Amino acid sequence: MKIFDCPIIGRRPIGEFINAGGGIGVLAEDDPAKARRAMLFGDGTARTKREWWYHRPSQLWFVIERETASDTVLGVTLASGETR
Amino acid sequence: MSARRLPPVAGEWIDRSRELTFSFEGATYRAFEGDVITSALIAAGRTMLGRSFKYHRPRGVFSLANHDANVIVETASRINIRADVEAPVAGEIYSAVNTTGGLERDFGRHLGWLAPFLPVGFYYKIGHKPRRLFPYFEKLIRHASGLGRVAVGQPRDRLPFVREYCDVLVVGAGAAGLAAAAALAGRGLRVIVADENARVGGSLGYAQADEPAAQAFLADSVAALDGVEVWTGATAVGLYGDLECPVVRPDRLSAVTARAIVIATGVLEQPAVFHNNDLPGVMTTGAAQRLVHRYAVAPCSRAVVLAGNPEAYRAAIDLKQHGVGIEAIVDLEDPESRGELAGLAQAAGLRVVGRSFVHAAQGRDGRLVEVEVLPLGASPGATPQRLPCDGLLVSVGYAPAAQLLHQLRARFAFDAAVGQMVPAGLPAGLYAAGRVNGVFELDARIADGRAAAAEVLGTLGIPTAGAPRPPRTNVRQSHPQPLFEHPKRKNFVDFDEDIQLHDLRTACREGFDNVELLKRFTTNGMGPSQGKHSHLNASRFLAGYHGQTLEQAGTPTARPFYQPVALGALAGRRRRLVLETPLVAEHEAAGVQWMEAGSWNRPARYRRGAPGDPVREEYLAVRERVGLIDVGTLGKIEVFGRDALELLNLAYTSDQTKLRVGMTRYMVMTDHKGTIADDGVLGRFGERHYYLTAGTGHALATYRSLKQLAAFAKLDVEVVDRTRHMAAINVAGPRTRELLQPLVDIDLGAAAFPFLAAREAKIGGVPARFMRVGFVGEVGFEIHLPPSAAGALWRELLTRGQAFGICPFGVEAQRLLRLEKGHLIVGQDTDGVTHPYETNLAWTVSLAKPRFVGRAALEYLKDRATRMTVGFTTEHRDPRLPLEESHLAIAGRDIVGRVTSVGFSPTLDRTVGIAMLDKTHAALDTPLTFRLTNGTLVGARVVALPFYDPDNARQKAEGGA
Repeated sequence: MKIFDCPIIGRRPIGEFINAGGGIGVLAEDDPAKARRAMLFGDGTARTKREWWYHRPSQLWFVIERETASDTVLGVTLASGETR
Repeated sequence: MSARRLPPVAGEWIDRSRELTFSFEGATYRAFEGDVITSALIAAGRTMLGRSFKYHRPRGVFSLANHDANVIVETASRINIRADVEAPVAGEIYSAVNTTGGLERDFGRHLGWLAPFLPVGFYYKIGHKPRRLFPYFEKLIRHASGLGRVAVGQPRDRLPFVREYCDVLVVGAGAAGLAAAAALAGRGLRVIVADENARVGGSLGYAQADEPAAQAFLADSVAALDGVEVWTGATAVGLYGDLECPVVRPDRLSAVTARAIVIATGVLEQPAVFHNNDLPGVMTTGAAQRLVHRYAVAPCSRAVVLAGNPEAYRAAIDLKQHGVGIEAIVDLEDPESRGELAGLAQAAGLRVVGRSFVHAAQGRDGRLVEVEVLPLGASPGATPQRLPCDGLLVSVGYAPAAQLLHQLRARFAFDAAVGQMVPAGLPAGLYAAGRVNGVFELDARIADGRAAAAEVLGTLGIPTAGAPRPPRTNVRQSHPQPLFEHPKRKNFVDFDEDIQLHDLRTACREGFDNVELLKRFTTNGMGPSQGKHSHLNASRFLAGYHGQTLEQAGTPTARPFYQPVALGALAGRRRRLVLETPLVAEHEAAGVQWMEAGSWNRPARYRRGAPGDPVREEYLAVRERVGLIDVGTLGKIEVFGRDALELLNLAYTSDQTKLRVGMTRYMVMTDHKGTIADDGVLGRFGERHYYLTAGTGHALATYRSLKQLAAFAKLDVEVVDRTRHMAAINVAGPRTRELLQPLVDIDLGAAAFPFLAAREAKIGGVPARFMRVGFVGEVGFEIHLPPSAAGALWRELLTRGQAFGICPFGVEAQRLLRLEKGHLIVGQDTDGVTHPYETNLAWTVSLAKPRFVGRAALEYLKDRATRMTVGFTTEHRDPRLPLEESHLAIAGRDIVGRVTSVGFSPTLDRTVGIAMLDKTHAALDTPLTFRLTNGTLVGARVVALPFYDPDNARQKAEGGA
């Protein structure tokens, strides 16, 4: 994917985004041992994943559902707290 | 007239009115404008133009199709010039690559006898057994490998990088490409045609140069390209997702993103494999025809044509008409099967030797003198027919120039009628037309281009009358197996790497039974031309060896780049955003010497060119009097709202709950793995209002993290990046209060404004924020104020400060001052895995907090640190001791750590530093040995941090105003 056709901010070059993955999810894990495992042995298989994407020019965070095998975005939402 | 230059040829590319001279291998040559280096050398009668890579065999022109690795030249300033692509520059001095002592006398030619000792795959076999010989072989291989010498001192040749967006990109301006482009013109689309050659036309310009129909089409279609951008000398070198195609052009690298791409790249002529098939004088018929029609150069005077397809006959007839003597056509098949061409050849007076093959080429003094011809199926001892000649022109078939299609994972299938792999499934938006698509006759190629254009228009949603695809050719264009064994070998499959037929057999016998393994073990196809002339024959051999079809054997994966690309073209111009604080003019006025820090320009030091040691004087001003430094590059972030405290507790390792309004504290941020990511100072300016600083290079990332955490935890908080809304100046030194107090409308005394306090106040009538910090270890105030007021304040402070001996100080002095205080710089004293328990920052971690970024990791790491950052002093007191960051700490034969910061402390009068050491060597008083760049060992000792004022008495000082 070189151009991301975002339903919220339109077609943008992919280079404007930072894909931060889903790593922040470990913060919600109460068991530290489980959190460490999730962090260090993350699931690398190609499948539909939930990723946090940051759009640098607009400074907005998005939560993206992406099928990583085909690199297809299935769903886009603004991260909670972000306003257009 | 040069030896081989022909009288003017219709359509020639050379301009005979513009002549130039250049030097090659010590001799001077003449060329016309429009020549390439190779054509000018051939025109002068040269045949040997280069030496082969491994055996240093004489080589001449072979394909002249932009990938002729036989002839690579260099100048004093440029390496790896493709002589079949580049025009000679007037007065330039060229030499062949890969020779020792010049092309003619090349010492490397004596290496041929080594061949039996350098079997295929010898890298993997000889080099490491016995092990003690490895250094010898390593040296040998390193000396022998690579082509050309890098001229390190030469000016860099960078091309600009430009993004282009268009509707349709047509790659290749031959018959099919031009037909497609002409059909797309005039519809309001942005259409780009890119062709790597100097002129459009493709094979119409040499193989069909004398056919009136072809020339009429060429003229008509070029005239029809109204509004179409035609890029010549433009090589499409790769194809990436979303139809992005980098095109290397003479003056730029254009990254073209198109809505549709038509690949009309044609085919690559392939060699036949027989004994001495690399002799100068053996070349493709295409090379011969390009020499004649583009450059008006006769490739040879007396040629034998080796025919494996109908094109060989057409080429022989064409060349004869242009004065090249044709000794005979040696046809690998029955001439009767060539249909009317056999009759045409006969009518042209050409002798045809049918159902025969070239068993060997024989040379003298590095040039072809005769070929040995045997009937197909002749017994090994049969006496060959000898045909004297100085040229052997080979036309045995083609490989589709399908590399770009392969890069986007197009599927291919073997079409037995064409004798070629043809596209069998292309990704959306990608189209193929012409000979790369297995369509060969002129009318069909034109129709195929038009049909591709119609399909493109359909994809773009533009109404058009459909145009059907023409059928592929039913005349086989490629001989299925033009590979011929010879007892004396030297039958080359890959000219770049000197890979022979028996090398492939050895590899197959050793079990490398897959095309990718075969390639890597033999290095077949790994030279400069990247298999353009060798992959197909290697696959044919592999298929034959295993009784497979060509489709089953496959071809190696084609990856970018299709042609060699200069690093300068990839590097682009070094254009980066450089940020400046509002104090640029003030710094310049003080003779600043700039340094880069992240995206910023920062003052490294002042009084450029002044005698003495300006950094030491800046340092002394701060320690003894007062100094000021521009810290406007710090990240500055405002955090406010109901959940502001909760956000900060999530983002940083320490617990901020007890931070009172009007106070500041130092904070550390880690990532989820516990690695120190950033540090900064947090000031609380209201119950729900915080203001924090972040490292110069890390401001954007810290802001991003805070925003993400706020969104993740669904906090009611606002985070505002004020990095560029605020200027910041740090004033520090024992006389700071005396300087500042008259300008400020609050009491700066220690009682009213204690160490680590934060206040909002006016300075010179301008509202500002004050934070009492201790980074450099003296009384100091960080003043954050609007950028518009920063310059006036800086100048005012310098004027008033003269009475106190004020001096602006830069980053170098600041780093020394903080080093004495043992303050770490994140990213310098810490690395990509340093966690707080490896440093003197463990106190910042509050594991009592139930949740923060990095907590799970830090809980685990708390008692498992294996390294420590510690202070050290050296035994020597030499201020010029060349101990630097990254020098290693050595214990016996082991590396036990490295220097992360070092400097000569004027106060302690010795070299001090911070090192990251294995814990076994980090205890106080442990003797250390550091190794300097020149190998000298320097003794040192672990000491406690900080080096200076361990009780912070000076920065907490009550004295002053």
